[in-house]
Amino acid sequence: MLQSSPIRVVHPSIETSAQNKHVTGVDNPSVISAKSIRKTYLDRAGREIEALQGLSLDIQAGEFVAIVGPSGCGKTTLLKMLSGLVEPSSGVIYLDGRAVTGPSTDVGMVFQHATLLPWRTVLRNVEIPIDVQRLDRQRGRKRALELLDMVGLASFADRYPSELSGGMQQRVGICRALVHDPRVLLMDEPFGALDAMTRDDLTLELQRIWMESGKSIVFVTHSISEAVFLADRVIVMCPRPSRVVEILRIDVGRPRLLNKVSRSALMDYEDHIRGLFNVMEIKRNDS
Amino acid sequence: MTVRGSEQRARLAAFIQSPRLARTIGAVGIVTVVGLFGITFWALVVHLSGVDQRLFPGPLAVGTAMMDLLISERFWSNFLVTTQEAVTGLSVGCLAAILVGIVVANSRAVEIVFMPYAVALQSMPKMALAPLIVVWFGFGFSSKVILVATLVFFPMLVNVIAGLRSSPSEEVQMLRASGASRLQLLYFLQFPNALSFIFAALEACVVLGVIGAIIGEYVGAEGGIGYQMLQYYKQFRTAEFFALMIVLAALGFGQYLLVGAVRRRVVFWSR
Amino acid sequence: MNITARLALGSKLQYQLRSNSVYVLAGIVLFGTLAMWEASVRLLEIGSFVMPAPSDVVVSFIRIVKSGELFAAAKITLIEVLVGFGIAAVVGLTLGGLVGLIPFAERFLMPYVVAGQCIPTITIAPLTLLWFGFGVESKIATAAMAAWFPIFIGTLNGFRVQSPAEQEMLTSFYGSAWQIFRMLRIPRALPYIFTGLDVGFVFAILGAIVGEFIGGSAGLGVRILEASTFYDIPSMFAYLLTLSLIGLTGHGVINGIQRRLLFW
Repeated sequence: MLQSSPIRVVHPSIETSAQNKHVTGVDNPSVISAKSIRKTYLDRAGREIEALQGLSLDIQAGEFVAIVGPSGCGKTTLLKMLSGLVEPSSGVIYLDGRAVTGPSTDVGMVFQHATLLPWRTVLRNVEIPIDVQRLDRQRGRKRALELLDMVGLASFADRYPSELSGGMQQRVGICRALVHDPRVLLMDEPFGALDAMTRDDLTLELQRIWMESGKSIVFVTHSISEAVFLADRVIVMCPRPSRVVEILRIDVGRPRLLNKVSRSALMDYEDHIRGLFNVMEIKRNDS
Repeated sequence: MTVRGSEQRARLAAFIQSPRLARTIGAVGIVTVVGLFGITFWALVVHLSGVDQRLFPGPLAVGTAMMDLLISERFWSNFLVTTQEAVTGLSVGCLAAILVGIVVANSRAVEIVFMPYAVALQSMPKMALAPLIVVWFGFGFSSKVILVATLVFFPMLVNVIAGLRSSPSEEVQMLRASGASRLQLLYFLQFPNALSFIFAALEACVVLGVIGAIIGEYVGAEGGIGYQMLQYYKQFRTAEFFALMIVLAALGFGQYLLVGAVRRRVVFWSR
Repeated sequence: MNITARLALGSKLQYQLRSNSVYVLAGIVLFGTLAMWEASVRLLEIGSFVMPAPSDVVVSFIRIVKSGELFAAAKITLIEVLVGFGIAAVVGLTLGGLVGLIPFAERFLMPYVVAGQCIPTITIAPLTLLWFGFGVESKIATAAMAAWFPIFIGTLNGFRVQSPAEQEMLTSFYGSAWQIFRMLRIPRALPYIFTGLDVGFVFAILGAIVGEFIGGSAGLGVRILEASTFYDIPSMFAYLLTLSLIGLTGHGVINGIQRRLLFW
């Protein structure tokens, strides 16, 4: 008989007090700490549009956090702010205790489209962070080959991206994001452009990589089942205005599998999240 | 007031109050400012370096030369000659390219026979043919026309063929299935599609027309702007030479705008 | 697509010869055409000052090769073309890079760049004689002035290309602006730059030849002009053939380099 554990909900803590500009103490276990993050921009007519309502969140070291929501809910904006590519209009983000002011060497990012440089071999593409950050070349190459081996692409090291399928290119993208041994992996709908079977494949592989490497992962997706399958905690967001609706902890053991047993354990969580969106739908129609 | 008239007045009023006007004025302003900067810089270079203005004239000298030219009858008759040469040459070359293009695009045999030559002839700088053409056709009008036509023929040909082939295959099949003959296919589908390519190529080739006419006149002529430019060069009248170059640029640019305008009206469906 | 790009499209017939049989066929056709040409000239007794037969051309060709005239002239013209092209490349690449990369430069200069495409720089040939004399320098100048603009436009277009996804990727890995330029912008710009170089080379040849037409003492263009005064059409054809070979070689070299560099 399947036991579905109770769903524990953790509400977002929206801080209305003044921003805490000082770095918190050494014993802060969060690897990423975002406080009162808000993003606005000016549209063509000069009006201020809120892209992301104020939110705060903490990501523990080694945690797998998924951010799920429909288009326009701000999840990609949030991820970009965590990576330092986009600056928040207000609020601060701390990475490993230091405020984020731009891209960091301790972060690896995986994009929806692998964006491999077509004139570089697979191996040279994986080595891009090594080149850019001027890390030790020999060690970098060794690590790159290890990573490629881990995802089963060792024999493709000297091929060019055009010779690889979409799924393979994404694997290379994941290797590239790991080669410089970052503490955090940020993933923006990495499996969105792939077919369903490749998605399943890579989802399992990602879980394996995460379990073996112990990195903190922030994974953005619009697939509820993907989010629930992979994550320790799921941050649910919704648009208009873009905000966090709920953060829930997934209390299902690892490794999770794509079989009926595992999936039914996760299904309650999926239903709960879907329910949230239905509520939001009804709310929208009423207003 | 008619419906049309009041509509137009409303549109004009909207335009005047719109940010578009501000942007257009801004753009014009920027162009003028940059232009003034350029001219000032030019004048400074010339006057400060003390170079002989017969070698390299300043903007003032060129400006006055231009004014004198514009009121001189001789200039305008030369202008007419050159323009006629360029335009006629363009038309002939264009027409030839269209005719040959139609044949080549529609007949595999002709294509295989003809195209290798075209590719080989591509790399020959066709302006080098100028003396040959003058030998064959003399110093007069026709040699310039032929030179321009030759210059323009190959770029136009490539574009004509590309254009004729650009019709989406579904449309071709649709017409064929409805029983259209080769000629009808050409008329109804392939040629209109080719038109956008043809006009695009024409826009690019108008400059070639001007260049061809001038070089032709350099090699051998009795009239035309190129001929006049040679005279000025021999007389060390560099300012007038510069002024004529500006006139040539204006001629090319004017033709470019004209072709562009015609293109937007004729091939209104393409961008 | 701007003017120069379209001209490049026109001047680069991208005709793919699909298989060897086509080469053979082309060879047969070539032979046949030459034969017909020869026959018609002989039979119709067309004077060689109107249209020479292939055999006449070959005879002239052999003669000018043997006398050393061809190589002497070709050498001079080649120097003019190569040096002129080199200067044009340096100027065009630098200016194109500057305008393409400095953010607002383009907005300010665009109308002038467009108008500039209409200035027939080759026509400045007589003035270069004034400035540089009748020697090689003036032809180099004309070649450079004719060739720089296409190269400039090509480079400009190349650096106008934005690949935001790739830029973002490099930035996310801590890439600096210089690194993005070196690792991304340059490779992305190369196809356009090579197109510009291709067109520029042709213009360099044109510039050199026209310069020689107007006032020169040696070079292929001078020889062509000379031959025309003697109505020596076969020699003119022979020299024109040599010019074509130079053009083809240049194009082939540039294309070859492009294909190796831009294998992707």
